[in-house]
Amino acid sequence: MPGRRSGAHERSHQQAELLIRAEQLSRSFGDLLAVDRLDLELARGEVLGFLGPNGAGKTTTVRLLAALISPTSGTAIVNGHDVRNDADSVRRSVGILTETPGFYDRLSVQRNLEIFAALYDVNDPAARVARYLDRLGLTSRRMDPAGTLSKGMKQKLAICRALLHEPPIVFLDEPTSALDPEAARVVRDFIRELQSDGRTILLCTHNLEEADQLCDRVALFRTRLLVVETPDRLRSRLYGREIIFRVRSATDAYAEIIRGLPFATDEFRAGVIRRGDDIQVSSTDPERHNPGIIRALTEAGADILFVTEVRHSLEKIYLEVLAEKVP
Amino acid sequence: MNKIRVIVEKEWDECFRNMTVLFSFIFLPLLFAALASGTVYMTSRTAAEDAGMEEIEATMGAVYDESQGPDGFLLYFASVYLTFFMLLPAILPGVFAAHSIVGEKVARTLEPLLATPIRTTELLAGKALAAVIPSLAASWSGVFLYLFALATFLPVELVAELVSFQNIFVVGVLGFLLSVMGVELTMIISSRSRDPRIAQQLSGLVVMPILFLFVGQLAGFLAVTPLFALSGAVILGSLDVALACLAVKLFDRESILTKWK
Repeated sequence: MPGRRSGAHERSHQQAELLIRAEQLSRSFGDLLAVDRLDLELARGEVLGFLGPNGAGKTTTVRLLAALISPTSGTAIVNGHDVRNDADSVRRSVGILTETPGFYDRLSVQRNLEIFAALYDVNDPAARVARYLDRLGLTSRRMDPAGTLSKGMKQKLAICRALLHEPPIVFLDEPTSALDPEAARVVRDFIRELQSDGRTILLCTHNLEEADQLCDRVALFRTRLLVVETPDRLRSRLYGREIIFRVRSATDAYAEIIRGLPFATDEFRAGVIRRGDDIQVSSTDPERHNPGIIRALTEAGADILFVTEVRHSLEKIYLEVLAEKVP
Repeated sequence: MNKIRVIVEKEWDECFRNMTVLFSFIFLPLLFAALASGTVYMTSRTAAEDAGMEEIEATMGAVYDESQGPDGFLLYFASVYLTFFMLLPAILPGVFAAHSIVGEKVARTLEPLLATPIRTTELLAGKALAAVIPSLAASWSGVFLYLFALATFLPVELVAELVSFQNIFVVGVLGFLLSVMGVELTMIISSRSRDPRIAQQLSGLVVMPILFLFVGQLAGFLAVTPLFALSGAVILGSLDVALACLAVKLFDRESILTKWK
Protein backbone atom coordinates (compact mmCIF):
# COMPACT_ATOMS: atom_id res chain seq x y z
CA MET A 1 0.00 0.00 0.00
CA PRO A 2 1.80 3.12 -1.16
CA GLY A 3 2.28 5.75 1.45
CA ARG A 4 0.73 3.63 4.14
CA ARG A 5 3.39 4.46 6.70
CA SER A 6 3.97 8.11 6.00
CA GLY A 7 2.45 9.67 9.10
CA ALA A 8 3.76 7.14 11.57
CA HIS A 9 7.03 7.17 9.78
CA GLU A 10 7.62 10.86 10.42
CA ARG A 11 7.30 10.33 14.14
CA SER A 12 9.25 7.09 14.23
CA HIS A 13 12.06 8.52 12.15
CA GLN A 14 12.79 11.12 14.79
CA GLN A 15 12.76 8.52 17.57
CA ALA A 16 14.37 5.53 15.87
CA GLU A 17 18.02 4.66 15.95
CA LEU A 18 19.85 6.22 13.03
CA LEU A 19 21.89 3.68 11.09
CA ILE A 20 23.16 6.08 8.46
CA ARG A 21 24.02 9.71 9.04
CA ALA A 22 25.83 11.58 6.28
CA GLU A 23 26.95 15.12 6.94
CA GLN A 24 28.12 17.38 4.13
CA LEU A 25 29.39 14.29 2.34
CA SER A 26 31.13 15.23 -0.89
CA ARG A 27 33.17 13.45 -3.48
CA SER A 28 35.00 14.78 -6.51
CA PHE A 29 36.85 12.97 -9.27
CA GLY A 30 39.33 15.54 -10.52
CA ASP A 31 37.25 18.50 -11.60
CA LEU A 32 34.04 16.50 -11.60
CA LEU A 33 31.90 16.94 -8.52
CA ALA A 34 29.96 13.70 -8.16
CA VAL A 35 28.37 14.20 -4.74
CA ASP A 36 27.89 17.65 -3.28
CA ARG A 37 27.44 18.15 0.47
CA LEU A 38 24.97 15.35 1.05
CA ASP A 39 23.13 15.42 4.36
CA LEU A 40 21.11 12.27 4.86
CA GLU A 41 19.75 10.21 7.72
CA LEU A 42 18.28 6.73 7.60
CA ALA A 43 16.66 5.06 10.58
CA ARG A 44 16.72 1.36 11.40
CA GLY A 45 14.17 -0.48 9.28
CA GLU A 46 13.66 2.41 6.90
CA VAL A 47 13.55 1.99 3.12
CA LEU A 48 14.80 5.03 1.27
CA GLY A 49 14.36 5.29 -2.49
CA PHE A 50 17.38 7.03 -3.98
CA LEU A 51 16.22 8.47 -7.27
CA GLY A 52 18.00 10.46 -9.89
CA PRO A 53 19.00 10.46 -13.54
CA ASN A 54 21.93 8.45 -14.89
CA GLY A 55 25.21 10.01 -13.83
CA ALA A 56 23.57 11.79 -10.90
CA GLY A 57 26.06 10.31 -8.41
CA LYS A 58 23.85 7.62 -6.90
CA THR A 59 26.40 4.82 -7.29
CA THR A 60 29.14 7.08 -5.97
CA THR A 61 26.98 7.82 -2.93
CA VAL A 62 26.44 4.12 -2.32
CA ARG A 63 30.16 3.49 -2.64
CA LEU A 64 30.88 6.29 -0.18
CA LEU A 65 28.39 4.94 2.34
CA ALA A 66 29.75 1.42 1.89
CA ALA A 67 33.32 2.66 2.51
CA LEU A 68 34.40 1.50 -0.92
CA ILE A 69 35.67 4.97 -1.73
CA SER A 70 36.58 7.85 0.56
CA PRO A 71 34.82 11.18 0.70
CA THR A 72 36.64 14.28 -0.48
CA SER A 73 35.05 16.13 2.41
CA GLY A 74 32.34 15.61 4.97
CA THR A 75 31.70 12.34 6.73
CA ALA A 76 29.24 9.53 7.18
CA ILE A 77 28.55 7.32 10.15
CA VAL A 78 27.20 3.93 9.12
CA ASN A 79 25.95 1.62 11.86
CA GLY A 80 28.05 3.62 14.30
CA HIS A 81 31.24 3.41 12.25
CA ASP A 82 32.96 6.26 10.46
CA VAL A 83 33.45 5.54 6.75
CA ARG A 84 36.76 7.38 6.86
CA ASN A 85 38.38 5.65 9.82
CA ASP A 86 36.66 2.32 10.22
CA ALA A 87 36.07 1.02 6.72
CA ASP A 88 36.26 -2.68 7.68
CA SER A 89 33.49 -2.32 10.27
CA VAL A 90 31.38 -0.37 7.79
CA ARG A 91 31.83 -3.12 5.21
CA ARG A 92 30.75 -5.73 7.73
CA SER A 93 27.62 -3.68 8.41
CA VAL A 94 26.45 -3.31 4.83
CA GLY A 95 25.44 -5.60 2.00
CA ILE A 96 25.66 -4.32 -1.55
CA LEU A 97 23.78 -5.41 -4.61
CA THR A 98 25.59 -3.73 -7.48
CA GLU A 99 23.79 -2.69 -10.63
CA THR A 100 25.44 -5.38 -12.75
CA PRO A 101 26.48 -8.05 -10.29
CA GLY A 102 29.21 -10.39 -11.45
CA PHE A 103 29.96 -13.93 -10.37
CA TYR A 104 32.66 -16.52 -10.74
CA ASP A 105 30.80 -18.04 -13.64
CA ARG A 106 32.69 -21.31 -13.77
CA LEU A 107 32.06 -22.00 -10.09
CA SER A 108 28.85 -23.40 -8.73
CA VAL A 109 26.17 -21.22 -7.22
CA GLN A 110 26.95 -22.70 -3.81
CA ARG A 111 30.71 -22.22 -4.15
CA ASN A 112 30.20 -18.58 -5.12
CA LEU A 113 28.30 -18.00 -1.91
CA GLU A 114 30.71 -20.06 0.23
CA ILE A 115 33.59 -17.82 -0.88
CA PHE A 116 31.79 -14.68 0.26
CA ALA A 117 30.54 -16.31 3.46
CA ALA A 118 34.15 -17.11 4.31
CA LEU A 119 35.32 -13.59 3.46
CA TYR A 120 32.64 -12.17 5.76
CA ASP A 121 33.68 -14.61 8.55
CA VAL A 122 30.19 -16.11 8.68
CA ASN A 123 29.80 -18.78 11.37
CA ASP A 124 28.66 -22.11 9.95
CA PRO A 125 28.81 -20.85 6.35
CA ALA A 126 27.31 -24.04 4.87
CA ALA A 127 24.12 -23.65 6.89
CA ARG A 128 23.87 -19.94 6.13
CA VAL A 129 24.39 -20.52 2.41
CA ALA A 130 21.79 -23.30 2.40
CA ARG A 131 19.30 -21.07 4.22
CA TYR A 132 19.61 -18.20 1.75
CA LEU A 133 19.55 -20.51 -1.27
CA ASP A 134 16.34 -21.97 0.09
CA ARG A 135 14.90 -18.56 0.90
CA LEU A 136 15.36 -17.35 -2.65
CA GLY A 137 14.43 -20.60 -4.34
CA LEU A 138 17.90 -21.45 -5.64
CA THR A 139 18.47 -24.75 -3.85
CA SER A 140 17.77 -26.89 -6.90
CA ARG A 141 20.39 -24.93 -8.88
CA ARG A 142 23.05 -24.86 -6.17
CA MET A 143 25.50 -27.14 -7.98
CA ASP A 144 25.09 -25.48 -11.38
CA PRO A 145 27.80 -23.09 -12.61
CA ALA A 146 26.71 -19.53 -11.83
CA GLY A 147 27.25 -18.62 -15.48
CA THR A 148 24.37 -20.85 -16.52
CA LEU A 149 21.76 -18.99 -14.47
CA SER A 150 19.17 -16.71 -16.03
CA LYS A 151 19.34 -12.98 -15.32
CA GLY A 152 16.58 -13.25 -12.75
CA MET A 153 18.31 -16.13 -10.98
CA LYS A 154 21.59 -14.22 -11.01
CA GLN A 155 19.87 -11.27 -9.41
CA LYS A 156 18.56 -13.55 -6.68
CA LEU A 157 22.05 -14.99 -6.24
CA ALA A 158 23.45 -11.47 -5.96
CA ILE A 159 20.89 -10.68 -3.29
CA CYS A 160 21.89 -13.84 -1.41
CA ARG A 161 25.51 -12.76 -1.61
CA ALA A 162 24.70 -9.28 -0.31
CA LEU A 163 22.82 -10.70 2.67
CA LEU A 164 24.92 -13.72 3.67
CA HIS A 165 26.54 -11.87 6.56
CA GLU A 166 23.11 -10.57 7.63
CA PRO A 167 23.99 -6.89 7.50
CA PRO A 168 21.65 -4.39 9.14
CA ILE A 169 22.04 -2.10 6.11
CA VAL A 170 21.50 -3.11 2.51
CA PHE A 171 22.27 -1.05 -0.59
CA LEU A 172 20.32 -2.20 -3.62
CA ASP A 173 21.33 -0.66 -6.93
CA GLU A 174 18.65 -1.25 -9.57
CA PRO A 175 17.58 -4.60 -8.11
CA THR A 176 14.85 -5.24 -10.66
CA SER A 177 16.31 -3.65 -13.77
CA ALA A 178 15.98 -5.81 -16.88
CA LEU A 179 14.09 -8.50 -15.00
CA ASP A 180 10.90 -9.98 -16.34
CA PRO A 181 7.78 -9.02 -14.37
CA GLU A 182 7.64 -12.29 -12.45
CA ALA A 183 11.29 -12.17 -11.41
CA ALA A 184 10.92 -8.49 -10.53
CA ARG A 185 7.95 -9.31 -8.31
CA VAL A 186 9.93 -12.01 -6.50
CA VAL A 187 12.72 -9.52 -5.85
CA ARG A 188 10.27 -6.83 -4.69
CA ASP A 189 8.59 -9.31 -2.36
CA PHE A 190 11.97 -10.18 -0.95
CA ILE A 191 12.75 -6.51 -0.38
CA ARG A 192 9.50 -6.27 1.60
CA GLU A 193 10.65 -9.26 3.65
CA LEU A 194 13.94 -7.52 4.35
CA GLN A 195 12.00 -4.44 5.36
CA SER A 196 9.88 -6.47 7.77
CA ASP A 197 13.12 -8.01 9.15
CA GLY A 198 14.03 -4.47 10.21
CA ARG A 199 16.82 -3.89 7.72
CA THR A 200 17.66 -0.42 6.58
CA ILE A 201 17.56 -0.31 2.81
CA LEU A 202 18.82 2.27 0.37
CA LEU A 203 17.17 1.47 -2.93
CA CYS A 204 18.58 3.06 -6.09
CA THR A 205 16.06 2.66 -8.85
CA HIS A 206 14.70 4.22 -12.00
CA ASN A 207 11.47 2.33 -11.49
CA LEU A 208 9.43 5.04 -9.77
CA GLU A 209 6.38 2.87 -9.27
CA GLU A 210 8.60 0.42 -7.44
CA ALA A 211 9.99 3.22 -5.28
CA ASP A 212 6.45 4.38 -4.55
CA GLN A 213 5.44 0.88 -3.49
CA LEU A 214 8.47 -0.03 -1.42
CA CYS A 215 9.92 3.13 0.05
CA ASP A 216 9.11 4.99 3.24
CA ARG A 217 10.83 8.04 1.85
CA VAL A 218 12.33 8.99 -1.47
CA ALA A 219 15.40 11.12 -2.01
CA LEU A 220 15.67 12.90 -5.34
CA PHE A 221 19.30 13.39 -6.12
CA ARG A 222 21.34 15.03 -8.83
CA THR A 223 24.86 15.59 -7.54
CA ARG A 224 23.18 17.21 -4.54
CA LEU A 225 20.12 16.17 -2.61
CA LEU A 226 17.16 17.96 -4.16
CA VAL A 227 14.51 16.71 -1.80
CA VAL A 228 13.95 13.88 0.66
CA GLU A 229 10.41 13.21 1.73
CA THR A 230 7.72 10.56 1.95
CA PRO A 231 6.06 10.06 -1.44
CA ASP A 232 2.73 11.28 -0.05
CA ARG A 233 4.18 14.43 1.45
CA LEU A 234 5.92 15.13 -1.81
CA ARG A 235 2.59 14.85 -3.59
CA SER A 236 0.96 17.05 -1.04
CA ARG A 237 3.75 19.59 -1.25
CA LEU A 238 3.60 19.75 -5.01
CA TYR A 239 -0.09 19.40 -5.71
CA GLY A 240 -1.89 19.72 -2.37
CA ARG A 241 -4.34 16.92 -1.71
CA GLU A 242 -7.05 16.41 -4.25
CA ILE A 243 -10.27 14.52 -3.57
CA ILE A 244 -12.70 13.41 -6.24
CA PHE A 245 -16.40 13.11 -5.32
CA ARG A 246 -18.19 11.17 -8.05
CA VAL A 247 -21.84 12.06 -7.95
CA ARG A 248 -24.63 10.63 -10.12
CA SER A 249 -25.71 13.33 -12.62
CA ALA A 250 -23.53 15.98 -10.97
CA THR A 251 -24.31 19.64 -11.66
CA ASP A 252 -22.55 22.91 -10.89
CA ALA A 253 -25.02 23.31 -8.04
CA TYR A 254 -23.22 20.59 -6.09
CA ALA A 255 -19.90 22.37 -6.59
CA GLU A 256 -21.50 25.60 -5.33
CA ILE A 257 -22.74 23.79 -2.21
CA ILE A 258 -19.17 22.73 -1.45
CA ARG A 259 -17.85 26.24 -2.07
CA GLY A 260 -20.45 27.56 0.36
CA LEU A 261 -19.40 25.38 3.30
CA PRO A 262 -18.41 27.29 6.46
CA PHE A 263 -14.76 26.19 6.44
CA ALA A 264 -14.27 27.19 2.76
CA THR A 265 -11.58 29.82 2.26
CA ASP A 266 -11.01 31.64 -1.02
CA GLU A 267 -8.20 29.24 -1.84
CA PHE A 268 -10.47 26.27 -1.04
CA ARG A 269 -13.27 27.68 -3.22
CA ALA A 270 -10.87 28.13 -6.14
CA GLY A 271 -9.92 24.49 -5.81
CA VAL A 272 -13.43 23.13 -6.32
CA ILE A 273 -13.88 22.12 -9.97
CA ARG A 274 -16.60 20.00 -11.63
CA ARG A 275 -15.64 17.75 -14.54
CA GLY A 276 -18.65 15.77 -15.67
CA ASP A 277 -19.84 13.69 -12.72
CA ASP A 278 -16.61 14.30 -10.83
CA ILE A 279 -16.25 17.19 -8.42
CA GLN A 280 -12.57 17.70 -7.64
CA VAL A 281 -11.72 19.38 -4.35
CA SER A 282 -8.23 20.56 -3.40
CA SER A 283 -7.95 20.49 0.34
CA THR A 284 -5.21 21.02 2.86
CA ASP A 285 -7.02 18.84 5.39
CA PRO A 286 -9.36 16.37 3.69
CA GLU A 287 -9.77 14.27 6.86
CA ARG A 288 -11.51 17.32 8.44
CA HIS A 289 -13.29 18.63 5.33
CA ASN A 290 -14.58 15.44 3.69
CA PRO A 291 -17.26 14.48 6.26
CA GLY A 292 -18.79 17.97 5.96
CA ILE A 293 -18.73 17.82 2.16
CA ILE A 294 -20.35 14.37 2.11
CA ARG A 295 -23.06 15.51 4.58
CA ALA A 296 -23.81 18.64 2.57
CA LEU A 297 -24.01 16.77 -0.74
CA THR A 298 -26.20 14.04 0.73
CA GLU A 299 -28.56 16.60 2.29
CA ALA A 300 -28.79 18.22 -1.16
CA GLY A 301 -30.00 14.89 -2.54
CA ALA A 302 -26.77 13.88 -4.31
CA ASP A 303 -26.04 10.21 -4.85
CA ILE A 304 -22.35 9.93 -4.00
CA LEU A 305 -20.91 7.01 -5.93
CA PHE A 306 -17.22 7.21 -4.93
CA VAL A 307 -14.88 9.36 -2.88
CA THR A 308 -11.28 8.98 -4.05
CA GLU A 309 -8.03 10.73 -3.28
CA VAL A 310 -6.08 11.57 -6.43
CA ARG A 311 -2.59 10.10 -6.43
CA HIS A 312 -0.19 11.84 -8.78
CA SER A 313 2.42 9.45 -10.05
CA LEU A 314 5.87 9.63 -8.51
CA GLU A 315 7.16 9.92 -12.05
CA LYS A 316 5.33 13.21 -12.48
CA ILE A 317 6.71 14.48 -9.17
CA TYR A 318 10.21 13.29 -10.09
CA LEU A 319 10.16 15.14 -13.38
CA GLU A 320 8.82 18.28 -11.70
CA VAL A 321 11.54 18.19 -9.06
CA LEU A 322 14.32 17.57 -11.56
CA ALA A 323 12.98 20.46 -13.61
CA GLU A 324 13.41 22.47 -10.37
CA LYS A 325 9.77 23.45 -10.23
CA VAL A 326 9.60 22.41 -6.60
CA PRO A 327 10.90 24.92 -4.06
CA MET B 1 45.35 -16.01 7.25
CA ASN B 2 41.90 -17.49 6.71
CA LYS B 3 41.00 -14.88 4.11
CA ILE B 4 44.29 -15.43 2.26
CA ARG B 5 43.48 -19.15 2.08
CA VAL B 6 39.98 -18.35 0.82
CA ILE B 7 41.40 -16.17 -1.94
CA VAL B 8 44.02 -18.76 -2.91
CA GLU B 9 41.43 -21.55 -3.11
CA LYS B 10 39.02 -19.32 -4.99
CA GLU B 11 41.70 -18.35 -7.51
CA TRP B 12 42.67 -21.95 -8.12
CA ASP B 13 39.06 -23.05 -8.40
CA GLU B 14 38.31 -20.33 -10.90
CA CYS B 15 41.50 -20.11 -12.95
CA PHE B 16 42.21 -23.80 -13.36
CA ARG B 17 38.77 -24.28 -14.87
CA ASN B 18 39.99 -21.96 -17.59
CA MET B 19 41.46 -24.17 -20.31
CA THR B 20 43.98 -21.51 -21.39
CA VAL B 21 45.46 -21.33 -17.91
CA LEU B 22 45.36 -25.08 -17.38
CA PHE B 23 46.94 -25.69 -20.77
CA SER B 24 49.72 -23.18 -20.04
CA PHE B 25 50.55 -24.79 -16.70
CA ILE B 26 50.65 -28.28 -18.21
CA PHE B 27 51.99 -27.58 -21.68
CA LEU B 28 54.75 -25.04 -20.96
CA PRO B 29 56.72 -27.29 -18.52
CA LEU B 30 56.48 -30.12 -21.05
CA LEU B 31 57.60 -27.84 -23.87
CA PHE B 32 60.47 -26.41 -21.86
CA ALA B 33 61.62 -29.88 -20.81
CA ALA B 34 61.43 -31.11 -24.40
CA LEU B 35 63.26 -28.07 -25.81
CA ALA B 36 65.99 -28.12 -23.18
CA SER B 37 66.60 -31.86 -23.23
CA GLY B 38 66.40 -31.91 -27.03
CA THR B 39 69.04 -29.21 -27.31
CA VAL B 40 71.32 -30.95 -24.81
CA TYR B 41 70.80 -34.22 -26.68
CA MET B 42 71.84 -32.65 -30.00
CA THR B 43 74.84 -31.04 -28.32
CA SER B 44 75.83 -34.32 -26.70
CA ARG B 45 75.83 -35.97 -30.13
CA THR B 46 78.12 -33.23 -31.44
CA ALA B 47 80.36 -33.50 -28.41
CA ALA B 48 80.53 -37.28 -28.81
CA GLU B 49 81.83 -36.78 -32.32
CA ASP B 50 84.31 -34.26 -30.90
CA ALA B 51 83.22 -31.91 -33.66
CA GLY B 52 83.77 -28.25 -32.91
CA MET B 53 85.05 -28.87 -29.36
CA GLU B 54 88.15 -26.86 -30.02
CA GLU B 55 86.11 -23.81 -30.93
CA ILE B 56 83.89 -24.30 -27.88
CA GLU B 57 86.90 -24.60 -25.61
CA ALA B 58 88.36 -21.47 -27.17
CA THR B 59 85.29 -19.37 -26.55
CA MET B 60 83.85 -20.91 -23.40
CA GLY B 61 86.77 -22.56 -21.75
CA ALA B 62 86.77 -19.95 -19.04
CA VAL B 63 83.32 -20.84 -17.77
CA TYR B 64 83.58 -24.65 -17.45
CA ASP B 65 86.10 -27.24 -16.41
CA GLU B 66 88.02 -28.07 -19.60
CA SER B 67 89.92 -30.88 -17.92
CA GLN B 68 86.76 -33.00 -17.96
CA GLY B 69 86.62 -32.81 -21.75
CA PRO B 70 83.24 -33.05 -23.51
CA ASP B 71 81.54 -34.22 -20.27
CA GLY B 72 82.60 -31.03 -18.56
CA PHE B 73 81.11 -29.00 -21.34
CA LEU B 74 77.89 -31.06 -21.33
CA LEU B 75 77.56 -30.64 -17.58
CA TYR B 76 77.96 -26.91 -18.00
CA PHE B 77 75.61 -26.81 -20.96
CA ALA B 78 72.93 -28.86 -19.18
CA SER B 79 73.17 -26.68 -16.08
CA VAL B 80 72.79 -23.54 -18.22
CA TYR B 81 69.55 -25.01 -19.47
CA LEU B 82 68.40 -25.33 -15.88
CA THR B 83 68.43 -21.54 -15.89
CA PHE B 84 66.02 -21.79 -18.78
CA PHE B 85 63.47 -23.20 -16.33
CA MET B 86 63.57 -19.98 -14.31
CA LEU B 87 61.55 -18.53 -17.16
CA LEU B 88 58.56 -20.65 -16.13
CA PRO B 89 57.95 -19.10 -12.70
CA ALA B 90 58.47 -15.72 -14.35
CA ILE B 91 56.04 -16.30 -17.22
CA LEU B 92 53.30 -18.42 -15.64
CA PRO B 93 52.25 -16.01 -12.86
CA GLY B 94 51.59 -13.45 -15.60
CA VAL B 95 49.30 -15.91 -17.36
CA PHE B 96 47.57 -16.61 -14.07
CA ALA B 97 47.37 -12.99 -12.99
CA ALA B 98 45.93 -12.03 -16.36
CA HIS B 99 42.96 -14.24 -15.62
CA SER B 100 42.94 -13.53 -11.91
CA ILE B 101 43.03 -9.73 -11.85
CA VAL B 102 41.70 -8.85 -15.29
CA GLY B 103 39.15 -11.64 -15.04
CA GLU B 104 37.78 -10.21 -11.79
CA LYS B 105 37.19 -6.90 -13.46
CA VAL B 106 35.72 -8.33 -16.64
CA ALA B 107 33.37 -10.57 -14.63
CA ARG B 108 32.44 -7.59 -12.41
CA THR B 109 33.30 -9.54 -9.29
CA LEU B 110 35.86 -7.06 -8.02
CA GLU B 111 33.37 -4.65 -6.47
CA PRO B 112 31.61 -7.29 -4.35
CA LEU B 113 35.04 -8.64 -3.40
CA LEU B 114 36.32 -5.20 -2.37
CA ALA B 115 33.07 -4.64 -0.48
CA THR B 116 33.98 -7.46 1.91
CA PRO B 117 36.10 -6.67 4.97
CA ILE B 118 39.21 -8.12 3.32
CA ARG B 119 42.36 -6.09 3.77
CA THR B 120 44.48 -5.09 0.80
CA THR B 121 47.42 -7.11 2.16
CA GLU B 122 45.23 -10.22 2.45
CA LEU B 123 43.82 -9.80 -1.04
CA LEU B 124 47.21 -9.22 -2.63
CA ALA B 125 48.88 -12.00 -0.65
CA GLY B 126 46.11 -14.41 -1.65
CA LYS B 127 46.35 -13.50 -5.30
CA ALA B 128 50.16 -13.58 -5.28
CA LEU B 129 50.37 -16.97 -3.58
CA ALA B 130 47.70 -18.36 -5.88
CA ALA B 131 49.88 -17.41 -8.84
CA VAL B 132 53.31 -18.21 -7.40
CA ILE B 133 52.66 -21.67 -5.90
CA PRO B 134 51.42 -23.43 -9.06
CA SER B 135 54.03 -21.60 -11.12
CA LEU B 136 56.80 -23.00 -8.95
CA ALA B 137 55.17 -26.42 -9.04
CA ALA B 138 55.03 -26.27 -12.83
CA SER B 139 58.64 -25.08 -12.95
CA TRP B 140 59.88 -27.93 -10.75
CA SER B 141 57.82 -30.42 -12.75
CA GLY B 142 59.61 -29.17 -15.84
CA VAL B 143 63.00 -29.51 -14.14
CA PHE B 144 62.26 -33.09 -13.08
CA LEU B 145 61.10 -33.97 -16.58
CA TYR B 146 64.25 -32.40 -17.98
CA LEU B 147 66.52 -34.32 -15.62
CA PHE B 148 64.62 -37.50 -16.35
CA ALA B 149 65.01 -36.94 -20.09
CA LEU B 150 68.75 -36.21 -19.69
CA ALA B 151 69.18 -39.45 -17.79
CA THR B 152 68.02 -41.36 -20.86
CA PHE B 153 71.00 -40.30 -22.96
CA LEU B 154 73.63 -38.95 -20.54
CA PRO B 155 75.52 -40.91 -17.87
CA VAL B 156 73.47 -40.93 -14.65
CA GLU B 157 76.52 -39.70 -12.69
CA LEU B 158 76.64 -36.63 -14.92
CA VAL B 159 72.95 -35.92 -14.40
CA ALA B 160 73.39 -36.42 -10.65
CA GLU B 161 76.05 -33.72 -10.68
CA LEU B 162 73.41 -31.30 -11.99
CA VAL B 163 71.44 -31.75 -8.79
CA SER B 164 73.88 -29.57 -6.88
CA PHE B 165 73.12 -27.16 -4.09
CA GLN B 166 73.99 -24.26 -6.37
CA ASN B 167 71.62 -25.35 -9.13
CA ILE B 168 68.82 -26.06 -6.67
CA PHE B 169 69.42 -22.63 -5.17
CA VAL B 170 69.40 -20.90 -8.56
CA VAL B 171 66.26 -22.59 -9.85
CA GLY B 172 64.45 -22.81 -6.52
CA VAL B 173 65.30 -19.63 -4.69
CA LEU B 174 66.02 -17.25 -7.56
CA GLY B 175 63.10 -18.70 -9.52
CA PHE B 176 60.80 -18.14 -6.56
CA LEU B 177 62.03 -14.59 -6.04
CA LEU B 178 61.58 -13.78 -9.72
CA SER B 179 58.13 -15.29 -9.65
CA VAL B 180 57.14 -13.11 -6.72
CA MET B 181 58.57 -10.11 -8.52
CA GLY B 182 56.49 -10.87 -11.63
CA VAL B 183 53.29 -11.00 -9.62
CA GLU B 184 54.15 -7.86 -7.67
CA LEU B 185 54.90 -5.95 -10.86
CA THR B 186 51.57 -7.09 -12.34
CA MET B 187 49.76 -5.83 -9.28
CA ILE B 188 51.59 -2.55 -9.07
CA ILE B 189 51.01 -1.76 -12.72
CA SER B 190 47.39 -2.96 -12.47
CA SER B 191 46.69 -0.63 -9.60
CA ARG B 192 48.09 2.39 -11.43
CA SER B 193 46.89 1.63 -14.91
CA ARG B 194 43.48 2.23 -16.40
CA ASP B 195 43.92 -0.71 -18.71
CA PRO B 196 44.79 -3.94 -16.91
CA ARG B 197 46.10 -5.49 -20.11
CA ILE B 198 49.04 -3.08 -19.97
CA ALA B 199 49.90 -4.57 -16.59
CA GLN B 200 50.00 -8.04 -18.03
CA GLN B 201 52.24 -6.99 -20.90
CA LEU B 202 54.64 -4.91 -18.81
CA SER B 203 54.98 -7.57 -16.12
CA GLY B 204 56.41 -9.82 -18.84
CA LEU B 205 59.53 -7.65 -18.69
CA VAL B 206 60.60 -9.66 -15.64
CA VAL B 207 61.85 -12.37 -18.04
CA MET B 208 64.52 -10.00 -19.37
CA PRO B 209 67.13 -10.59 -16.63
CA ILE B 210 66.60 -14.34 -16.95
CA LEU B 211 67.11 -14.20 -20.69
CA PHE B 212 70.22 -12.11 -20.09
CA LEU B 213 71.50 -14.70 -17.64
CA PHE B 214 70.67 -17.57 -19.99
CA VAL B 215 72.15 -16.03 -23.13
CA GLY B 216 75.14 -14.71 -21.17
CA GLN B 217 76.00 -18.20 -20.01
CA LEU B 218 75.49 -19.72 -23.44
CA ALA B 219 77.68 -17.06 -25.00
CA GLY B 220 80.35 -17.72 -22.40
CA PHE B 221 80.63 -14.22 -20.94
CA LEU B 222 78.69 -14.92 -17.77
CA ALA B 223 79.11 -17.67 -15.21
CA VAL B 224 76.78 -18.41 -12.33
CA THR B 225 79.08 -18.72 -9.35
CA PRO B 226 77.94 -19.21 -5.73
CA LEU B 227 78.69 -15.53 -5.10
CA PHE B 228 76.68 -14.52 -8.16
CA ALA B 229 73.71 -16.66 -7.04
CA LEU B 230 73.86 -15.37 -3.48
CA SER B 231 74.17 -11.74 -4.57
CA GLY B 232 71.28 -12.26 -6.97
CA ALA B 233 69.15 -13.71 -4.19
CA VAL B 234 69.91 -10.81 -1.85
CA ILE B 235 69.15 -8.23 -4.54
CA LEU B 236 65.97 -9.97 -5.72
CA GLY B 237 64.81 -10.60 -2.15
CA SER B 238 65.30 -6.94 -1.27
CA LEU B 239 63.50 -5.87 -4.42
CA ASP B 240 60.65 -8.26 -3.64
CA VAL B 241 60.20 -6.83 -0.17
CA ALA B 242 60.30 -3.28 -1.49
CA LEU B 243 57.88 -4.11 -4.29
CA ALA B 244 55.52 -5.87 -1.87
CA CYS B 245 55.36 -2.73 0.27
CA LEU B 246 54.91 -0.62 -2.83
CA ALA B 247 52.18 -2.93 -4.17
CA VAL B 248 50.18 -2.64 -0.94
CA LYS B 249 50.67 1.12 -0.89
CA LEU B 250 49.75 1.60 -4.52
CA PHE B 251 46.89 -0.89 -4.72
CA ASP B 252 44.22 1.74 -4.96
CA ARG B 253 40.77 0.22 -4.50
CA GLU B 254 39.17 3.45 -5.62
CA SER B 255 41.03 3.66 -8.92
CA ILE B 256 40.29 0.05 -9.67
CA LEU B 257 36.59 0.55 -8.93
CA THR B 258 36.14 3.86 -10.63
CA LYS B 259 38.66 3.97 -13.48
CA TRP B 260 38.86 0.45 -14.85
CA LYS B 261 36.34 0.11 -17.65
